[in-house]
Amino acid sequence: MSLHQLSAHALAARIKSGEITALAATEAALARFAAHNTTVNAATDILTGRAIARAQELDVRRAAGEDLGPLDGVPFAAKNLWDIQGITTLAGSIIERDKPPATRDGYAVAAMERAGAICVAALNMDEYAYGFTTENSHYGPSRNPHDLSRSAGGSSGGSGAAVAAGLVAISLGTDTNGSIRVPASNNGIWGLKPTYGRLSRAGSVMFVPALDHVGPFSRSVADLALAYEAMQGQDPHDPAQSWHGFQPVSPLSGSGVGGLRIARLGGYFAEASQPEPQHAADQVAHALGATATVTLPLAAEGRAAAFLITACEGANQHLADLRSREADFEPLTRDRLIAGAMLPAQWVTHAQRVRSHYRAQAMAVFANWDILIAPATPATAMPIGQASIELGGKTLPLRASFGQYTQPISAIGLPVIAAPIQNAAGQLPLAVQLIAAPWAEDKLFRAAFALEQAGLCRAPIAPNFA
Amino acid sequence: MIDPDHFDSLAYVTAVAPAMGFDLPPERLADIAGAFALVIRVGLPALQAEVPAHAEPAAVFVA
Repeated sequence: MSLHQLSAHALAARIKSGEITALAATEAALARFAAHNTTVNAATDILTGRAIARAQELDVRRAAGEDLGPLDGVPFAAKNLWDIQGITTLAGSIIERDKPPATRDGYAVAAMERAGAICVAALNMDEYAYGFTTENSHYGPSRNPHDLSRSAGGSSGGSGAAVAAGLVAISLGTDTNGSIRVPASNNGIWGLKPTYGRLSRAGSVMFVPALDHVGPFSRSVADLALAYEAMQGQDPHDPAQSWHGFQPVSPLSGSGVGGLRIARLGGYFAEASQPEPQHAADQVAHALGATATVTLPLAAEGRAAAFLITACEGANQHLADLRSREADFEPLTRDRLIAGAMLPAQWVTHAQRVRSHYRAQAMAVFANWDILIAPATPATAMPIGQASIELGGKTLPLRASFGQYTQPISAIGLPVIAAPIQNAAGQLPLAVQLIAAPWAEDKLFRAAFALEQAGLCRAPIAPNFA
Repeated sequence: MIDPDHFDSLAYVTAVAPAMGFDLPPERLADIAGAFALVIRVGLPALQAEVPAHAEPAAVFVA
């Protein structure tokens, strides 16, 4: 088996055993980027010098007897909105390009490296994370490894494509309204959006602070668990973090789902969809023994509230640049940002109250259920350049609609694992959301491990890149 | 409550743009009005939702 086909878990084991070096693993990952990045356009920066220097350092320290952590020598890549020492943080924008290189790593990047991993690339994204397609006119679209004519999803599209194409085993992304879960679905890989406040976002470019989350992508649940564990830690530099202590999830691989109360979400989450995502959710429900269908009250209202809050806070992040250099913004983004700057304050305040009321209704549902199942996206990956989509008999704007099932969940900060199903529609994959109450990521991992072990949910490298 | 089918987004953004510090050429306003109309259309279920008097409006919350 080639190095790029190994899981992070297996790669770290081989490095620890001395079978291979971190340098060899890093050079293999860099070679994958050199061979395939022009095809999928996953990375905006490949960190050759930094990565090789770190790999060499780790090899020396390991040879001296040091234990370098569970991800010892494993290459990974991070969405280019995290600060990575030595390069300029682009956030998908040419406005940021003029700024100096970062002088230190963002929290999540540093945390991964504290666990032994090696950052090898910074990854493409929708400008300022405002989109679900990574159709970035500044840096080009990220392409779906399962079908290069289609979107890798967004806004963490480069993160999704890099893992699905086998460039790295783990990548980091962010999720405000679905930006981990949509790329996980389009690329057929695992994605974790933890509870709002669980993981520090410090050292990343914020999009909507009231809704921003960070999390990992992977091709196995064990790797997702390793990355999640590595990214945890109390950080005073993220004022929204709510530290609940370290939550180990790797030991849950054999726990099964016994005792978990699992239901399929109906109502809003069964409407306005192509058939394949609903079928995928049904398959997951069946595999987990979920026979009940429940509704999440006010999901449509909650999604709408998140849309309004996003428009307003997203605009606020960039108001000065929108006033002075709006022509430098991504054309697909700038009009939405400017429009968001003009929302009446009363609308946004009302949206916040709707969100808190919706949250209270949702918490009541979790009094009876541990895990809720819903599609991640209303369709498989769409062709790059497509602007609209037919859903529920209506023609809707694609870029706003692709998050219709993810947005109500992140609106109230619920943790989600996106579980991939291959060949959901021809060669294209999909993902299904496993949703839990706040701080119950451990239950999600139990279900994810069970689905992987049952063979239903798996995430091999896309066939053309295997 | 706002009616998205009859709300004049172009008139609204034309009036509000200067107040928000935007100096936009007239030919740009129609696109921004379109984006504003989309925000209204997608956001409408929230704008129409009734909430209890005690519903918390704070922007930062603990999940």
